[in-house]
Amino acid sequence: MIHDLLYIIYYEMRETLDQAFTWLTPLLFFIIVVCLFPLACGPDPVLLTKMAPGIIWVAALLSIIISIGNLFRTDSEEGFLDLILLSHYPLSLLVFCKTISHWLTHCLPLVLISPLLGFLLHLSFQKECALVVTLLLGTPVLSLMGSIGAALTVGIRRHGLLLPILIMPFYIPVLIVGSATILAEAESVSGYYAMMGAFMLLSMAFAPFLTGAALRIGVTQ
Amino acid sequence: MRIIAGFIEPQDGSILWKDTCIFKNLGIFQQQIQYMGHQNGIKHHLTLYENCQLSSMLVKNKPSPSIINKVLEQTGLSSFKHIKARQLSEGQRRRFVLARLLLNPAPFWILDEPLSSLDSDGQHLFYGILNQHLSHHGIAVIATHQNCEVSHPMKTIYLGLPYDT
Amino acid sequence: MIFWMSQKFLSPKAFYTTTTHFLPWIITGVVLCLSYGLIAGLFIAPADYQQGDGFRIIYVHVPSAFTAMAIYFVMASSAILVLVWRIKIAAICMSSSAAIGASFTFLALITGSIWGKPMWGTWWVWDARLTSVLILLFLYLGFIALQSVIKETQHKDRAASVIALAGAINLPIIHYSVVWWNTLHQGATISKLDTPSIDPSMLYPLLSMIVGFMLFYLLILLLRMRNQILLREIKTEWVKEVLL
Repeated sequence: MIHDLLYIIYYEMRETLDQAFTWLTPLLFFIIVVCLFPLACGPDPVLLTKMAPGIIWVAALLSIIISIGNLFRTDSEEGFLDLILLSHYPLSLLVFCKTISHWLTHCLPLVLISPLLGFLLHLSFQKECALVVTLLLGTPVLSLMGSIGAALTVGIRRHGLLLPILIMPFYIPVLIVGSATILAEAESVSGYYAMMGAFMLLSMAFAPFLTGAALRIGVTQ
Repeated sequence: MRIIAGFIEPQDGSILWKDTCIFKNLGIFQQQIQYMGHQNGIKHHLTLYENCQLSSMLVKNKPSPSIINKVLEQTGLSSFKHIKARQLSEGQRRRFVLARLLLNPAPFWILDEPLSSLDSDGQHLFYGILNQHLSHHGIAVIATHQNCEVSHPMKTIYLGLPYDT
Repeated sequence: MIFWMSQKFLSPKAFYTTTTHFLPWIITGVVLCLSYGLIAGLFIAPADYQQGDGFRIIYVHVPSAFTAMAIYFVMASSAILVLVWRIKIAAICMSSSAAIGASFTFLALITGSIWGKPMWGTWWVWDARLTSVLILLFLYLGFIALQSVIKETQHKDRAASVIALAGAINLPIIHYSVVWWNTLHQGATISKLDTPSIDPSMLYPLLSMIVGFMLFYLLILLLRMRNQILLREIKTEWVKEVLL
């Protein structure tokens, strides 16, 4: 069974990595958004250091919410979604596999490039480490909760920016805790990490079921 | 057809499989069906062979490579085995769906316009596969505009205008 | 008891006919509560020793905020009824409440802002409560947006229920993280948007206003639900009779 699921994740990833366009553009979007802030707010290093965690987190949020909207798009167009629904594997498990593949192809590059962006925004080394860890813990939550929104909007054509509007309020707690962790002092920081970890585990436990339910509701055509 | 397959819930009435409403335990019912709709359910970025593997994996079926090869040969697709599905024609993709029907046996087939996009060879192939399925005590519900040439007992329901002559 | 309730309220037609009798009573209730609340609150209650006459805005702000939260709770409960038991009336209740809830949330924000001007000197401040209410507004607007995009009724009801339920589950988490965020980034002298320990002469008008607002919500909700029932069931006989 694990072997099958790993294969499914592998095939999903191949789909994304097949065309560089699919995984590269969210990454470039992330980088560009981060670079817009010094242009907009001035290059003062003190200001940028203070704002850096927030900027990088918000940019990551925007990039992920845009890329997760396409989670079920090709499956829906190819009629593959029917096969997923008819599968002998539980729907939540398959959805979880898709989300894992999304995280590996869309979120992991963001996490890997964030130290470079932190450096551009004059973050200290210690805070850069914190940045990477919080993104590592936080981006799965963003993927998982975004998948619920993706499942809800799967049948709707031309829904535009509906998905970001729906899901952004749910991202706010993760955003708050994530950026606060980076700014926190060393003594209290373990508590913040615990909270991030809690978010991640909670969303891993509940989001796939909600996404599965939303998928069944959304597949009506 | 999608209601029969359990994708959509009916506004009125119920669907019974072996005397129980399918929505009482949808998983069990859906494990016994094969659905062929307007779309092919084929992953365009994978080869035909990989698509066969993937569709079998989803139903926890583990056909050996020889079986997959045999099925692809039977549907006339063996020369396209390792070609990505996006490079195939619509007729070839439709034949893949027939291959999938052969590869993953299920007692109940729900087929929505199965003959569309198939040339006369493909249609011949389809009837062969269908008859084979029916001989092995399978059932099928088919929605089609054409007359069905099946050598097994069948019940036909005409859907149309109430005052059709 | 439940059987009696289901007879009276469950089917759209029964709901429509039953509520026709309620409306005059609710209108009376609304007028009574609001008039007592407004007159007692705005004119009779003494001025607050700390905030002067400016505090009187709580007679609109607190009821709107309370009603906004209560409406979301009603929507979440209806969402459960829709998803688990597929009750159509609950879906109608949920979609009718959304716009009302959004309006009350917006009102709460505006009045909170108006209250802030004399108190803190600025029209807006990112304190925990106002920020939570702002996020609640976004949740409402997202719900309304989702409803407006989906055309098919059953799909619309069930998809909207999922988002309403997800919002309700997340609401405590969002609220507590915003409160925590506020303590972290404590700005300068933000006096809390709290009512001081409250004298009965101020309390009773406030309670009356809250009840009045809730009854007003009920009134508008029933009117909207009746309207939606007529629209949804337009092809049936009884609706044709009603409309003639």
